[in-house]
Formats: sequence, structure tokens, C-alpha cells
Amino acid sequence: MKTSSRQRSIAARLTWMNVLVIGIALILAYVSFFAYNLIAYREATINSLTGEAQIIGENSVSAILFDDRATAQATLSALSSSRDVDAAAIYTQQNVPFALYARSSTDIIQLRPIPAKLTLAYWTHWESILIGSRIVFQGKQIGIVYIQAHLYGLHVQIVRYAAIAGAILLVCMGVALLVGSIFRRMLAQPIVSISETARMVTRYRDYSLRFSPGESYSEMQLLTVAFNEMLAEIQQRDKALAQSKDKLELRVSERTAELVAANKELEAFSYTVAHDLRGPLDTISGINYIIQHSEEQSRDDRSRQMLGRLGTSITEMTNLIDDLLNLSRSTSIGLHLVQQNIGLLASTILERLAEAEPERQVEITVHKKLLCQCRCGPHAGRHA
Amino acid sequence: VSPLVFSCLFVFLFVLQNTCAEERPTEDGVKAAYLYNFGKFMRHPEADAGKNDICILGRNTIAKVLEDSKSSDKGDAHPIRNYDKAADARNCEIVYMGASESEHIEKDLAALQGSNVLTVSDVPQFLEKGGMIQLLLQNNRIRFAVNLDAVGRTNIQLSSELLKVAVYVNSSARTEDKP
Repeated sequence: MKTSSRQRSIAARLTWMNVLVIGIALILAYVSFFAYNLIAYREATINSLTGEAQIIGENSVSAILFDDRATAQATLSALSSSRDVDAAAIYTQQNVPFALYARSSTDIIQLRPIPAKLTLAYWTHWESILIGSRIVFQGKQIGIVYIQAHLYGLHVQIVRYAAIAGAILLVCMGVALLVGSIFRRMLAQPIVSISETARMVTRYRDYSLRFSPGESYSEMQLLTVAFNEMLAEIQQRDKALAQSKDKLELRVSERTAELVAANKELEAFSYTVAHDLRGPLDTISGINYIIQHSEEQSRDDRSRQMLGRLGTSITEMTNLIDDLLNLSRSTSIGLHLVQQNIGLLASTILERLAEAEPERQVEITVHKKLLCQCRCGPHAGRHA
Repeated sequence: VSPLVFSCLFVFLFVLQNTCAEERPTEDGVKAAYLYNFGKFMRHPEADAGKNDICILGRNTIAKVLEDSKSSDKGDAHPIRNYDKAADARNCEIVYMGASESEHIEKDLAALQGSNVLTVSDVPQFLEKGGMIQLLLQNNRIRFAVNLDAVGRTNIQLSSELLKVAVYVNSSARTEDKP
């Protein structure tokens, strides 16, 4: 359904684009032709009316010279067959009306003087035209003929052109739609197929898909070839990436196994060492206990102090071995976030150093309450 | 006061009458203008090219009007001549025969026969007697009629424009009358 809707979309766009272009071109052509025709019609009407004015002038010469108003009137009446003429008049040299013609009683000629150097003049106002022509006989002006006309044919021209243009517009748009529907498959189908292939590749990550260019035109062939080449490149890189990933995972598992084995060996070693040390230390501790509790009165203070220190060292040694065992199991025990008093730990270490080397006089000030949060085992402080 | 008012009124009416008389052409003035204009609508044979005399037969007041028109209209230099005998007017372009010639029109026309002269008159029955153009008075206007048969016996050619404004045209081939 999406494919068909996309196809309709791009095809419809192409079709409507063709129709729009043809419509605009036709309208512009129509407007141009109409403007040209309007001007041409106006000029043709003016030329026709000036010709009629001159003919009437020529035919009225004898009527004016022999004061024959009836003949002049009959000559003017011939203008009744001219559709555009509203009124006409012949004036004598003394500017006296000699003969008049009017299509209706409301048609009155608004006279205007003809410029001195001209024998013919015309004035236009919208659709109204006034023609003035001097009647000259043997080089002398004997009168003037005026014709007032209205471009009635202009409305007919406008309606006729509008009808013709509308009909042509409809026919051309129909043909454009028909031709567009024929050609839109050729233009739109390859693009739709490419987009569909791209969508499948994106959705299913299947870079082995390819688009067949078919019988499409050269630009589309170039596009499809480029698209297929791009897919091949992506497929090749994807394959190489997958291989690298597999290799890496294998290496990691190997290293992990080696590390686990090394840890186990180290743990076994530490356990063995601690276990082996604990035996002799228990023996020393037992002997120390026996010595401390036998013949106690015969020993001096010095001996008693030395035995006390030996007992303390044995206890510390025992704790040290226990911590060593715990350290060997630290991978399985894990670290915990505990609060440690660093000041107390430092003071203990300093006292031990002072007893070991009493000849050194060092003054060190340690804050008794120096708390901190750290991850460590249960007896980590003693290892320091 | 009364005679003075009458005198002023009389003078005013006299001046007004003279003014109106000047504005409206007289019958002789119209006829004179017609005689001038007839020449503009006719063609002579090559042998008579250049002749443009307007001749008056007999005594007629139109001669003076023609002279006055000639002096006022410098463009149309038509020599005006007066003859008592028609035979003397054979070289004229147009010959006008006034009322004084009504008694011997046929004789005058016979004397001009064979010459390329346009004969014009206001004498009744002029066309029937063989004249070419007869001036008529219709509805207080001067009109004219044409006898094409008489014109056709000469080498003169009249313009169709002239025939168009004629009251009627007599000829053996056609007779056109205007309402």
C-alpha cells in the first residue's frame, strides 16, 4: 500500500506539473495574442474608419459645392451598414453642419479641431473613436467629415477569444493528463523501486538486495548502478566488520580463560603459602604460650617484655596470614564500600615504626579523626 | 423723442438687413458659384486644354457677380467675358445664357454647335431646346438638370460627381430623376 501511495504521489506530482506548465504557457500565450489582437483590431478599425471618412469626403465634394444636402445625407447614410459607426457629420468650410447621420438620437458627435498641418486626425477614448478628415478639392479645403465610432466588435472578440482559449486549454490539459499517465510509469517507476529497495535494506539490514535497472533511461540507469555499487560496498564492509567482531570475541574469551587460570593458580599459591606458614606459626605460638606460663617468677622484666612482644608479633603474623588468605580469595569475595579512619591507621603504623627504630627521633602530627570512604576488604587497613 | 427713436430704429433695421443680406448668398451669387464649379467637374479634349473662359451672352447681372467673385477668389482665375453674339463665344469653356436670350435660345445653341462649349441657362425648356445644363429653383434653392445627349454631341466629359447632384439627367439612354 505504501508503494502504491508513493507511486501515486510522485506520478501525480509529475502529471500535475505537466498540466500546470501547459496551462500557464497557454494562458500567457492567450494573453499575448489577445493583447496583440486588441491592438490590431483597434488599428484595423481606425484604418477602416479613416478610409470610410476619406471616401465620404470624396463623394461629398460635389454635394458641398452645389449645396446638395440630400446627396450628402444619402452618402452619410451609407454608414448605417457599418456596425461600429454611431454618428457622422459633414461640416462646411465655415464650420456649418451640412449633413448629419446618427444611429440613435443619443449619439452626438463631440467635435474637435483637426491640427492645422494634418488632413486626417483621430482621437480615441477607451472604446470610442472620433475620426476627422478634411474634404479637399483641387487643393482647397471645402469641408470636414467626422465619424464617431464605438468598438462594439471588441466585446465579440473578447468573448470569442475567451471561448477559444478555454476550449484549447481544456483540450490541452486533457491531452497532458493522458500523455502524463502514459509516461509517468516510465519516469516514476524506477524511482519508486529504488526507494522501496532502500526501505527494505534499512528495515532488514539486508545489503544483498539489488535493484534491477530494467529499460529505464540513462540517468536512472546511472542512479541504479550507483545504488547497487553502494549496497555492495556496504555489504562488503558489513561482512568485514562481522568477521573482526568474531575474531575479537574469540581473543577476549581466550584472554579471559587465561586470566581465570592465572587467578586460580595465584589463589592456590597464596592459599598454599598461607597454609604452610600457619603450621610453624602455630607451633611458635604454642611454645611462646608455654614459655610465658612456665617459671614466670624467674624471669626478669626484660624477658617478660620480650615474650609479650613475641606474642603480639605472633598474633599479628596470624592476622597477616589470614588477610593473605582473604586477599587470595578477593576475586570471589569482592570489595565493599566502608568508612575507614585514616588518622587512626596512620597513628598505628607510626607507633610500630617507632618501636622498631627507637633511636630515630621523628615528630609527626596526625589527626586522630580523618575519615574517608573507600572500597576494600574487611582487614584491608591492616595491610597498609 | 419720438422721431429720434424712429430714426434710430430705422438705422438699426437697415444695418441688420444689410448684414443678413451679406451673410445669405443671392440667387446670382449662387448661380455664379455654380458656373465656377461646373468647370471643375468637366474635362475638355486635349485640343481645348487650357481654356477656362466663362462667357455671358446678352445683358445679365450675373456678369458683375462673377467679376466680384473673381476678385475675391484669386485661386480660380476664370476670365469673364460678355458677348452679344453666340458665335463669338465658341472658344469659351462655359457659356451662360441669361433671361435676355430666351427669345433666341435655339439660334444661339445652333451657333455654338460643333464647339466644345458647356451651355448653361436658367431659361425654361432649355434642355428640350438642346442646352446642356439648366438651372432650376426648387424649394428656394438653386438646382440644376443635365442633358447628356447634348453633352455627348461634344467632346466634353462631365464628372459622375456632377451628375450625382443633378436634379435629373436627360438622355436617350437613360433618364434619372431625383425626388
